Amino acid sequence: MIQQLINYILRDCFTKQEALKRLLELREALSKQLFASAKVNIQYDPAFPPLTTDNFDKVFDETENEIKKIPELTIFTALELPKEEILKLGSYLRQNFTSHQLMELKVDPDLIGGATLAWQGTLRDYSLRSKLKSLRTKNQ
Amino acid sequence: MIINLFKKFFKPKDLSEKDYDLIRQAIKKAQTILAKAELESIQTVADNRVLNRKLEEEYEEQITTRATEVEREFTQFLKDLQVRAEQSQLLLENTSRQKTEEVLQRFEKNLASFLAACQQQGIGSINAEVNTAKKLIEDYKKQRMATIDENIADIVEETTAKVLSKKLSLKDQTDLIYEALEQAKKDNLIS
Repeated sequence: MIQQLINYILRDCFTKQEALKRLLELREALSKQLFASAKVNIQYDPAFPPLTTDNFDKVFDETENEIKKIPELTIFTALELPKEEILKLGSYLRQNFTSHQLMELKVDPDLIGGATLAWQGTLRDYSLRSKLKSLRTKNQ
Repeated sequence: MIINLFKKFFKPKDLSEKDYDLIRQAIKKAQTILAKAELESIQTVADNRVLNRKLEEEYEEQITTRATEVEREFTQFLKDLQVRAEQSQLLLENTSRQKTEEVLQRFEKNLASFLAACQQQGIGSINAEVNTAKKLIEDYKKQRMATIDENIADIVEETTAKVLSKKLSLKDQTDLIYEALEQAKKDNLIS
């Protein structure tokens, strides 16, 4: 159930921040419906089993913890990407790396172009700045 | 007096008239001897006085003679001494002059050698200094050229960065990002 909820949330969320925000919004919306209206269960998606008053909090808490545990790829770019490009980028990561890949986007104009990637303590510089520097070193 | 003395020490009833006569005779003889001795002593003293006077006169005469001789000898000695001193002075002057000339000649010779050696050394030092200076200039030139190259490279890099930043479109940027991600995939960054 938790994995199902995670899949549901991450369907169109590519950053951890977004995912947690989406989870919170869903929790609040469903909570109102479930606890305020004296329903016994509620479904956030017809494809998934319903949540009850007994397991509601537990499910959401555990889902939140699991989402927080997901490692995110930090991508430094030279400029801020528009929303549609972020969505494309997120999809690309899900297709080429892991199915639940999350990213964190940061801007560093000094990179000029390309990207610098940080993943679980490892940093790789694929920016234009780095390429220019290596060209210079080669020529010296 | 003698009789009184005698009487003092010997009791009168012990001696006879004969004894007294003997004593009187002895005393008389003693007095005679004493008088004679006195006379002789006076005579001796007088004789001695004359002799002393004579000896004094002789002594004085001899002293005077001897003093005159000594004075004459001393004067001669002083004259001889003066002559010898003058001779020694002359000899000393000549020797000093000669020695000084020798010393000066030796000094001149040594000075000339020293100056020649200094000159040689000086030329050698100057050459060494010139070579060192040349090397320093060369090193400095290389260093400056390297700094200039560095500066040029900095300028080129900066200019390229500025131009590229302005010229790259959104598509160019996203293409470069995807290129980076492709490279990361090849490098197995995310496993």
